Amino acid sequence: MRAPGRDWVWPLLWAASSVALGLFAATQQHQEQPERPGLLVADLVAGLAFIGAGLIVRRMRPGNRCWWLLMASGTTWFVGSLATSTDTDVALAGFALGSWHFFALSWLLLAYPTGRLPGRREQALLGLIAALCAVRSLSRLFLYLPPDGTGCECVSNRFVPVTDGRWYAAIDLVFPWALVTALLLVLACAVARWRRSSRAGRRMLTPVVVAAAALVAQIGYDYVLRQEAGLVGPRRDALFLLVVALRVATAIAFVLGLRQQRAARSAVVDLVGGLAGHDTAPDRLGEALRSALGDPSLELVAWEPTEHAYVGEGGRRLALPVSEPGRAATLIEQDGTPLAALVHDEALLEDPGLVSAVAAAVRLTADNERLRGELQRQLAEVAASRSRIVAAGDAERRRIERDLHDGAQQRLVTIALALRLTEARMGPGADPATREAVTQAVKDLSEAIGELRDLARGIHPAVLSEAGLHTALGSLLDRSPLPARLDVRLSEEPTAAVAATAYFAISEALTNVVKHARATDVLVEVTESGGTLRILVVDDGVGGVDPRAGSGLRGLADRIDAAGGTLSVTSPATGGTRLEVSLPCE
Amino acid sequence: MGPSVLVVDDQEAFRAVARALLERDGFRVVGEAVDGATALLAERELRPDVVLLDVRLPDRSGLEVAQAIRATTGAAQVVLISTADYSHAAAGCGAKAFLPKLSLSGAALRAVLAEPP
Repeated sequence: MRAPGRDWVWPLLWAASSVALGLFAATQQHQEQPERPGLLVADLVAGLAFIGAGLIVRRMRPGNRCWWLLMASGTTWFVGSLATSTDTDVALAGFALGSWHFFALSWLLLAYPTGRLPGRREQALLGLIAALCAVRSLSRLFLYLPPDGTGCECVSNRFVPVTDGRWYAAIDLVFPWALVTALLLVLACAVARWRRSSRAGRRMLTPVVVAAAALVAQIGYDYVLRQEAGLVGPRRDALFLLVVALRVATAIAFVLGLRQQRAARSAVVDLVGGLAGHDTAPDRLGEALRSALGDPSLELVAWEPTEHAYVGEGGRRLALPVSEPGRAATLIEQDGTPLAALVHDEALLEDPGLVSAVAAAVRLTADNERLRGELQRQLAEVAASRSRIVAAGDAERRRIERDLHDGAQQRLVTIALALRLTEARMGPGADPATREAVTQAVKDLSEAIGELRDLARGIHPAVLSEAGLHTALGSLLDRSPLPARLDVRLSEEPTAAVAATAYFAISEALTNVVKHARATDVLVEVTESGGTLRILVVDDGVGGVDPRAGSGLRGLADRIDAAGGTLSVTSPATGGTRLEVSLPCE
Repeated sequence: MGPSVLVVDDQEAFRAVARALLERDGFRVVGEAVDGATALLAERELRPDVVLLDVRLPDRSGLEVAQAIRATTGAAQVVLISTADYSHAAAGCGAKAFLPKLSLSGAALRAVLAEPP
């Protein structure tokens, strides 16, 4: 388990101090009421529930301020428990300050779930409760006169500056009514927020509202009705246990509620994870957002730069911000440029962080989509550019070959034939030296023509253009010094570009077999199916070919890649090589 | 009297040498054509025994011309000629044989014509 960081020092010190205060109060109570140890434990449990809940919330949601409001509720609970101390000063402190527990609880209820008071109404209400508690504290400190003899509270008061108990009695009479009224208003605020909330928001608020309602009912009964009823004995003990149970339930309710919010945020994390690399079509994205935020009414509207407006489903134009009551819009921008907007239940703004996270997820998705689109466009451009370069290269090779054929080759052949004719026409009396010179010239010229023909064929095989791939491969294999078998099954002649790539692939493969494989047999197979030309060149040579070594195979791989095809070479060291090429027929 | 020949090639110098070579070896060169269209007309008109046909012509491929001759009259035996190797293309277009230009002579032509189909 990871040790708590430095930021945990103060919370833990606070918790430890509160627990110490609670234990101290319990020991004081034990001295006062040794016959009722169960109540002391219950009192301790109520305060500890808030302290524990505060620590849990802090660990669960470090940025949420509810944790210290929970801690404050626990601490003030223990402060109130000091009222039964045997020490008069300690008892007076508890007696005077105990009501601040209600202040802490009210703040917690009003600020839940963000930890911040949402509006002026809540601030005013909290101010009123603070004022009530202050009046109560001051009245108990400075106006309270202990009753003669054995008063029920048993608190003495050394600060009392007056001898008239009527002021205290008046305040003591009014305070419970005022407090309960204020707490009812707090509850009303919580209920109103619950009613405004979306499904996800309600899931988060429900436990707290229910616990708060029960708590306010108990406080109302305890402070207003019970005073009048004057409960004593076992019924009072039972009521105290109910108070403790409700405190514990309230603390648990806050933790459960915030867990719901964390679950909602987890849903956003899941949303971001789910959006990465998956289907992000607007309707799918909208559905994912509705699910993540628990708002079935949520609508994702896109910004249309051409129309300069937000456009919703069905091409409906939306004017933002929305004027419809209970609805709100969260704008999503990218570098100051509108991108999209979320039109949702206003209650979602209760947790602005959640909506911001979802907006960020949408921005991320849009950015991801844009980058992916840009990358794909660039890749397509590069692929098209490579294809154009290869096609331009092929066209240039064809032109050079044709120029050679129609020009130099043709003239040289004609000259050679003319010389041969001359040689044939020389009579028996011709000069032997002249005859030999002519014969030698014909021989040299024939060799030069042969070299030129090989050069032209290396640049581009004329037969490929004139007679097609099958015939060109037949010629190629005929020239191979190895016995090679050819199997071509094509329903139609491939395009010039595909045919040229296929021809050069097989030519390169055969060259490699002849040079390195020491093979005795080669099979060349060319088939076409489903718009793909498949080439297979198999030899029975020594194997061990490394496709990365040698510029021939690398150049071939580049050319095939440029044509959008694939090259695979299987060549185990045990012998034999299998070269496979797939080419899209376009 | 030797077999009659129609020489089809776009190079005048080559046609002249071919005519001289073949006539010296007993062939009768009955006509010459510079492109595919002229060759088809001349073949129909002259009815030669042999059409010596260059593969690369200005207006169309010699392979197409061979196919057309085969499809229409079918009377003449077509021998493809070229500086490049078209030996594998001959059968596909209905030509009798392929003869490299450099090997052209009356004897060589007679030899390919004598080959069994």
